[in-house]
Amino acid sequence: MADIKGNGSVNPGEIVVPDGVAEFIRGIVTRREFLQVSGALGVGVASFSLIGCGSSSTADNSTPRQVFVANAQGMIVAEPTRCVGCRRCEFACVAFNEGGAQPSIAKVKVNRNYLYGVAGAQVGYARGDGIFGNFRVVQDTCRQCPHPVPCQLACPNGAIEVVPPVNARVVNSAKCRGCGICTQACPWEMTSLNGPVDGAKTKANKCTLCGGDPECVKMCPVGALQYKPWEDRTKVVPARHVVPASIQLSADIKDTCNKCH
Amino acid sequence: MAYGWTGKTLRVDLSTGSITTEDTIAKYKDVLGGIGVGYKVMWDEVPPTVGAFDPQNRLVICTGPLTGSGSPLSGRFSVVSRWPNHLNELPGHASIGGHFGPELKYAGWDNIIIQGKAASPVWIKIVDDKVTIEDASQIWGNGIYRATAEIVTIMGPEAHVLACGQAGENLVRISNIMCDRKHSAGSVGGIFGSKNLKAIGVHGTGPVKIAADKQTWKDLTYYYLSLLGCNNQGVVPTTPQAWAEYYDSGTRWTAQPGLYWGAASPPVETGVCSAADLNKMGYRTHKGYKDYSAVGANHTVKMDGCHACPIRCNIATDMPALEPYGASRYNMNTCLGNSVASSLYATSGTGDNPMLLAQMSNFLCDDWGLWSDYGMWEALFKYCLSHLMTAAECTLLGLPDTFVGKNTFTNRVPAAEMSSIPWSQRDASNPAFMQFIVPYIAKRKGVLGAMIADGPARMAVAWPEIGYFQNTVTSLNSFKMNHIKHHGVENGGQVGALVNMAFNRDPMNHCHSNYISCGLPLEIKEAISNKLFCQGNSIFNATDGSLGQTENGAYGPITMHKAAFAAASVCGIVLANSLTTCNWTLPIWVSPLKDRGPGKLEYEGDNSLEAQAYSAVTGDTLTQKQLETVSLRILTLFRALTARYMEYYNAGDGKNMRTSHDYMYDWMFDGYAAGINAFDPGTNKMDRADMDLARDLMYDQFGWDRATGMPTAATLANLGLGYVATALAAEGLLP
Repeated sequence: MADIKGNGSVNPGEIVVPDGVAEFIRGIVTRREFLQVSGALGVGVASFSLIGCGSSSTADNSTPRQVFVANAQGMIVAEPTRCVGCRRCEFACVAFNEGGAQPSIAKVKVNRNYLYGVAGAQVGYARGDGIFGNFRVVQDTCRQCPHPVPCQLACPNGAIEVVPPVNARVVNSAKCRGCGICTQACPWEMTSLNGPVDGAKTKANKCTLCGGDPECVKMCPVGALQYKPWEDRTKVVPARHVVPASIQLSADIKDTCNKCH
Repeated sequence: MAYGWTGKTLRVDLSTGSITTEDTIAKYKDVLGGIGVGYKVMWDEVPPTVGAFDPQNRLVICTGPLTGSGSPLSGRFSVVSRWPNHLNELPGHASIGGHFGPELKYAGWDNIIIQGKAASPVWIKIVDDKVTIEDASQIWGNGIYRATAEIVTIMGPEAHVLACGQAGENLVRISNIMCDRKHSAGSVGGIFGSKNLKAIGVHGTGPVKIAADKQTWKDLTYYYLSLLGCNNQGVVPTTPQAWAEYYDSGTRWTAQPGLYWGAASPPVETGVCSAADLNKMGYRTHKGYKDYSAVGANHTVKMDGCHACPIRCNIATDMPALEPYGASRYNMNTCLGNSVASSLYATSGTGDNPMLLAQMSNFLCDDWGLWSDYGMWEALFKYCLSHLMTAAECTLLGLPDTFVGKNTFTNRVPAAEMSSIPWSQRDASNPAFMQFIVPYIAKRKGVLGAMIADGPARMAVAWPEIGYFQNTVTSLNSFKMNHIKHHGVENGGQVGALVNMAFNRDPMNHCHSNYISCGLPLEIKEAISNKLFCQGNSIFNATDGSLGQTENGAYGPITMHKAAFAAASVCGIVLANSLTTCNWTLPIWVSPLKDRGPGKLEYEGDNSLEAQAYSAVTGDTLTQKQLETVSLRILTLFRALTARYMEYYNAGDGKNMRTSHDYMYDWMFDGYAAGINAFDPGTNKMDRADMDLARDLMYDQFGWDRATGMPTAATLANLGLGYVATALAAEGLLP
């Protein structure tokens, strides 16, 4: 496993955005100003704000919500040819983070592709993916999307934040209200709820990269999951579902978007 | 909700449509889970008057506290009922893997008790706490592949399905139920069929709660993984490797440079997989190569197996040559599951053909739901074709002279039917023969199809020579009661014999065979077994003795040490099938690690791993000895249940299990050339007086009466089975 554990630093130069937008951001928000803004807010979530950009308020108006965010530093790369379908990755993901055994909230997802592949059970499955077909088992992992991050921007509560040291997109459970909008917003269906939509105790779960030392990668008995430096895979991995048209940016984010776009 | 258990047992009455919930902990915690629950349900609810296919019979699908916990090797579950394949339908169980059992737990259910009979074909749909009985008229008559696909289409891609094939629908006694393409619970397919139940689909989104804190659980998980070897807990590689002090070609640790999953695209090299590299555990065993050599390696896409298990033992194969026959090129199974019907050939051919036949067998049997019975009916099938009856045999068995010089099928099956069977395809080792014979049996066609479908025990009643063959013919490997041996006298002599005596079908027991075949030198194994079974580390113990195995393969006379080893092995499988975990690898009596730290012998495993896992998951702290006691409780309950049924069918049998149940066929004593004696190097010939003593010593270990082989009142009381003692006394079965 490559050791690219993050050191907590953020290099704005690594941010990957359309050239025009990047240039614009650099023009109006220097790294110094960034830090000053963060420090000035001083709300106890400075580590989040360090790598955030934008100041739209969250629903409770207590903290600035992130809009433009730095790229992640790592990602989990899955190799379907090697995957043996044991799902120990799903186990480790939940057991050593949330605790207990509950594959439905695992942030690496194998079960749904195990029997019939990504395409699912349908005519011709015997030649398709999955163990009822050609045995190709796709392990879905979070792409750690670059800006605009669908789940982060769709969240009405600003609960998905970018967290050092590796800038993973992480659910802040204190802010999450279990509405499930993020589960619809992710084209790859990589977020999940641990209870019913809007349930009193329901929270969303998504991949945190385990702070740069992913449990799933360490647990895989065939090395089919690897932790690698981040690349933008969002353009090359087909979406798993069509994001409903009803999932839209909230008004406060749109205002911030207008500053750059 | 409890830790480990979900706390809920589901009961579905297909006659009334009633769906109810029971408290697992209150009713069943004293028997852990798995077969413990299954046999307690049978004890409480199914009297001997109820047959396997009667609506009142129960089919108990039972997980345990570890199922779905993610503890290594915890993907399995058990199925308990009256055993259709047994002549008297004595209680029996299947151990089945895959992902269905864990998914049932995530849906919030520990067990499903199924009773009654639906008016028309149904399937049971379980989505968390929503349980419904659905119409199955569209999938009835189809194979397991289509049934699974259609149910997953309805339930979504995360659902897992347990289904019977057409064989089960037709009450074939050698039929199974299967989940996740290749995991089988043998013989019970007909019980599904008898209840008009095609399948159960389950999807769960909830948790199995773990009592231990996350760090403790993580530490235990990695410790557990560090002690695992390969499939069957071989702990040394098959070839000399720099990281390993020893090697042994007999283990399944085949990983080596230049060995590939050859049909992966592109091929994947297993390479060197040292004991320390936990990210290569899944490559250690290349079952395709182990079973089919280079041909197997070339056609293996990858390995697969059960939920949460890093030791992969199923071969996923790609054989494009099957497509011209209309069969899938892709198939998956392991061991006997690969050769259910391919064993029927006189010869399997050369080159790719043996594997081609095996994969055609997979394709057909795993769809039609035809069970291997671990090779028993296939062996008889071949013998019925190959053995020409002698005059002496016909005289002895009272068969007509016209039988002499002809094989059993010719004697017993009408000539017109015999001529309709494409024997020439069989003679040519042609896979098409299976496309004829598998449906023929699954549909109970003709005399031959119906006879095979009814299983070896009923064959032996209808055709007396079959019973005679099983008792006397070494190559058939039948052990007793028309069931095949499973790691019998060839594994530890008396130990294998005692293990095979204990159950009502092949025991599926690997505690003893894994230990014997782990690959370590004899002196290391002897030291570890001495520590485990002579120094108070188990409730099964001797004061001294030895396993008595020698380098030249000889086994000495029975000792208390061996009896303790056998007793621990029997209770080991009972424990595995109750927790539930995999006895194809557990228990971990040896490990691949030489340096085990203070208090441990070199290469010693950890006999308390199950107790550690059980305690961490449930929060109910038990020592291994305490867990062994629970295991003995379950075994003893099973014993009492079996005696009750035995007595019903033949008065006196239940009172004397020693002779009516705990026997072994004559070929193990007599089937050897003159001049070969028991305990000679290289022979498995057994000695009757020695086996009599072996029974005494094993009963001593269990606290069972030597004269009758039945648990004593004191033992029942000590095990918390007072209610069993009361019932046995009333039934005249208490010694």
